[in-house]
Amino acid sequence: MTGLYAYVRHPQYTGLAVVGLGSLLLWPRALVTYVAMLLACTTLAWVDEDELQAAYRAARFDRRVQKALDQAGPGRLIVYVVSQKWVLPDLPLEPVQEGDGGRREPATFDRRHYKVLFARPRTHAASPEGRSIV
Amino acid sequence: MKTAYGLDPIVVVKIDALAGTVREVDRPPADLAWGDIPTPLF
Repeated sequence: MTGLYAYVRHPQYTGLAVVGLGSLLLWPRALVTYVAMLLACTTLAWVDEDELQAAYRAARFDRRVQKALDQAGPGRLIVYVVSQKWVLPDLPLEPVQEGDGGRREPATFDRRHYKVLFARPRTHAASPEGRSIV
Repeated sequence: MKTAYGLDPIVVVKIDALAGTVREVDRPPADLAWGDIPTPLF
């Protein structure tokens, strides 16, 4: 892991924690709220990670996926795990439908169904490593 | 982003995470011209 993610696993939650800490300096009575927010963020992070890792594991160890990855040859992978309901035109997840070219991430979606995209970074380096990719 | 400038999709898998099962395994869509869309990789 390189870059920011080498130090901070959840930058958004960390940002909230830092902002909350700043607010706490101004309003010390908000301590209980701050602690509650920290607990909520930690819980959300655990839940999110569990769900995404479960989706990844189910995909990664499927025989058909293994065969496709073997055919693609050796090399580093970039794996995206997104909700089934999300439409992300910048990822080749499914054919673009008429009038469906925009990005759409509905706030409410079934957290049970995911799409997992296995892709390989296209780089100028013959055998990209770490920083060559990100 | 350093030298990466795009993605070559390999396979798309639809998952039922709760059951831990694979619902569908697809080849990425051929009609999406990947690389035409400038996308930053973070």
